Amino acid sequence: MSYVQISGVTKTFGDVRAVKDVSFEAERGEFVSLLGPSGCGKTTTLRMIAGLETPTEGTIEIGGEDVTKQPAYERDIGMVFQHYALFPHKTVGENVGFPLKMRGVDKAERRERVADALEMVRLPGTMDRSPTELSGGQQQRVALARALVFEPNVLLMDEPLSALDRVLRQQMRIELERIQEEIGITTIYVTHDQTEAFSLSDRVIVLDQGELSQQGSPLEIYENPQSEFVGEFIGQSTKLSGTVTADDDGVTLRTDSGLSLESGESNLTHDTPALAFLRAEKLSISKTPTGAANELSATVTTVSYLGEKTLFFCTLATGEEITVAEHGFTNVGEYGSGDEVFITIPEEKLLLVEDASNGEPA
Amino acid sequence: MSSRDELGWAAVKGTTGLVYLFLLFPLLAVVIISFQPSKYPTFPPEGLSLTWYEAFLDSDRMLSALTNSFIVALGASVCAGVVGTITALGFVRRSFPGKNVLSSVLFLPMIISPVVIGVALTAFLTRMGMQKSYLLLIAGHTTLVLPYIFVTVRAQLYGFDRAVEEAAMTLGANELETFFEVTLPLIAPGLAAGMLLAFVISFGEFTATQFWVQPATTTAPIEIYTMVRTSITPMINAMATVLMLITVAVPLALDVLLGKNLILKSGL
Repeated sequence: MSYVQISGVTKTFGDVRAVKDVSFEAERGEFVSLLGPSGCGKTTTLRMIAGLETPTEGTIEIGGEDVTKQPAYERDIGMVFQHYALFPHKTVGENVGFPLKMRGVDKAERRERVADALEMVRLPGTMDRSPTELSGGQQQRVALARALVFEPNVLLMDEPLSALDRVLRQQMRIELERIQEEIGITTIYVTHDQTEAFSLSDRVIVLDQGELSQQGSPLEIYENPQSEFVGEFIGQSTKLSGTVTADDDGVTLRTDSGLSLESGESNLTHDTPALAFLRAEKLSISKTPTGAANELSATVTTVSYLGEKTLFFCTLATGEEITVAEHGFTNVGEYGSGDEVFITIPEEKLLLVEDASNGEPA
Repeated sequence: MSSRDELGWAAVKGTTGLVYLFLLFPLLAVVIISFQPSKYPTFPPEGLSLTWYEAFLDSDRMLSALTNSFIVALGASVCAGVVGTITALGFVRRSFPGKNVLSSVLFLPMIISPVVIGVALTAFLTRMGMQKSYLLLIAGHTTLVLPYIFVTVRAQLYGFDRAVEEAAMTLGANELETFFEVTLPLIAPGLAAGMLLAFVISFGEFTATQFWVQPATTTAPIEIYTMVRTSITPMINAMATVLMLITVAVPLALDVLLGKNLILKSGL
């Protein structure tokens, strides 16, 4: 039995079903991310775990205890909010000491534990300052210290880095990882940012329109998407639809446009309508044919040099648009719009997903 | 800015100045006259004296009227503070049928003439067999000042980030603790401003109050009116000056004491 167990949870607001029959679990000490676009129900799910919303159906268990109907203040959960939610009328020390005060910890011990918590988030000596004097990144650290100082059972974070700028976001992400590893607290993290979810999590849960789409390690999610939504939402890829042909030679996808793409392993059976996701960074581009399998001829539309990588936006001979990303590419100058090029898709890297729409026009 | 605009602006300033002079000069005159020893005011003043203030301090009627005003104003602003805050919370955070209509009804005491409210409440309570008492006075004044507190607290609640309350709950504070630790301190500026306004309005209220007092509960404005009607004594000027001083000083003092400087900063 897992430490946090979400079973068949549904949440309805009026006529809107924000979360539909979602079940997942988190082991003790595990870092789990809920990943999805805005409106996918990830924040609502987190708020139900926190006790700020009550599920319409389903149960939430923490440490083997059913807490579904328990109010937030009895759950012993630390939560970090998107916009920090610090108390503006209290000092940093009073903010961090608040959960201890509510638990009846005496003043002297409170001061000591608050100092330790601020030390942990690398903000020593800020106790008597007002949170409104601090920068966004510092406020987020205070919020984290406040959520951890009472040693809660579970730490919940709702897009904690989204209000920070890019550089600060990366620093805080590394900091978060360090702190979480240091204290080993079970963490559930909500984000729409794939980089955050992948770099921090042991396990990623992808939500789509209130439903659980797929869960697994970042590697599994990225390399083996199980649905059209996950294939499109994660990474940057070109989608081609067609039908699977499976024979002794292996699995081939015949696209609706008439291309024939060989795939390494696939558990899809003959005649299954399927989608291929061509990840931009798994494709390679060249001016001359290499003779490899899965080589497609195309015309360059735009070349976009981004420094660490170069994006080639091309049109296949069959008309589809395709994006190729090359890393550390130095002969960018040789490519220009209108050039004839050859794009290779390594067959072991062709991602095939069963087409749930069953070939019906979308 | 063209010279025509400048001329227009000068006219606006001039008119405003005259209006204020017209309004404030009589008040100034009362203050000046209160320090004159003669029974009939003369101009220029004949000299300075605290005669009428001594007489005022010796007058039990005057002092008891002033005390009554204090009790009633304090009672009404506290009662309206509690009721107004709860009402504003309900109106901002809950939805219920007829909310818009009801919120207009809440402003009626501000719109309806105090004479009508005064007569109506008296008639109602007499039918109910209730006596004129402090309770009636405080209840009546609470009704009159409630809209002011409702407005100021409601304004504060509209800009309120509820995530801080949710944060408090996840950190272990129950509903009551969350209210006193987080909600109340954060709406305090609006509540304090509303209560000060309520205090000042109640302290100087005459029109409705005249129907609600009996000799033992007579308030300062009513006492001044009675004195003007029955005997013209310059002591009235002294009392009026004291009344003015209290109405201005109490809010200012609280403002500075609470360290919020709401009035001084807002220029209210």
